Amino acid sequence: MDNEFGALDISAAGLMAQRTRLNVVAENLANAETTRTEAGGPYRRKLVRFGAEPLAPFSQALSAAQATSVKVLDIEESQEPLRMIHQPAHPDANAEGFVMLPNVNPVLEMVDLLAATRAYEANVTAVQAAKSMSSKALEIGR
Amino acid sequence: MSLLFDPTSRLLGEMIQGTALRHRVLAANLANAETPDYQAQDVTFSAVLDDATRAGAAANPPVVGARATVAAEPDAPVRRDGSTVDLDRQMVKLAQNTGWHNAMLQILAGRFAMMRTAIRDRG
Repeated sequence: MDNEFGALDISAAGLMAQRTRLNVVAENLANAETTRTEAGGPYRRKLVRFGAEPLAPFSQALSAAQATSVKVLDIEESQEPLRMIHQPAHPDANAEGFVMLPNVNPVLEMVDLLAATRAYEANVTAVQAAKSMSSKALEIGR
Repeated sequence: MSLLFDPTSRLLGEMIQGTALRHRVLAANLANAETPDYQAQDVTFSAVLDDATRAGAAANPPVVGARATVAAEPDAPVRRDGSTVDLDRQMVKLAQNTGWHNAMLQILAGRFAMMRTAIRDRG
C-alpha cells in the first residue's frame, strides 16, 4: 500500500462518491414534478452526505496525521417546504384546489450536477497521474 | 565511488517515495473535495530533504534519511462548509508532484543506464 496503488483506492472511492451524487441529482430532476410516492405525498429532494473515512493500513503508514478516503454517509430527504400551486383540476389537488409539488429546484440541481462532474473529473485526473507515475517507475532499468 | 549505493541514489529513492506518499495525500484531498469539515493535508518533505542534502555536503558520505511528514495544509482558506480543500490548488499540486516524481525517476533511470554502460564495457 506504500505506493501509488493506495492512491488509486482513494481516488476510486472519490469517483464512487461523486457518481452516487450524480445519480441522486438525476433522481431529483426526474422526480421534479412527482406528486405521488410510495411513502405518500409528493417527492422530496434527496441530498447526499459525504464523510471522510480513515483507511486502516494507510493510517498506520502515516504516523503524523491521518489521510482518509471518502464514503457516502447517507442520503437524506430535504426538509425544505414543498411548492404549492393552485390547480383544482389536478387529481392530487386538496379540497382548496392546491397541489403540493416536490421541493426540487432544477436550477440548484443543475449547479449540483456541474459541481459533481467537476469533482469527478478531478478524481479522474488523480487516477491518470497515479498511472503515469507507476508506468514511469516501471521504466527504471529498462 | 558507487553509482547505486551513494547518497544521491538513496536520496532519489527517498524523494520518489515521498512524492508517491504526497500523491496519496493529494488524492485523498480530491476524493474529499465535497466532504464538509474535511481538513486538506499535504506532505512537507522539501525542508527535510534540504536538511539531508546539507548534512550530506557537510559530513560526506553518510546522509540522514529524508522523511516526508503529513500534516494539515498550512494557510488553507476555510470554505463555508468548513472544508479547506481548494480544488484548483490541489490540481496544481498534483501536477507539480507528478512532474517531480517523474523527473526523479528519470534521473534514477539515467544513473542505472550509466551503470549498465560501465558493466557492458562499451562506450
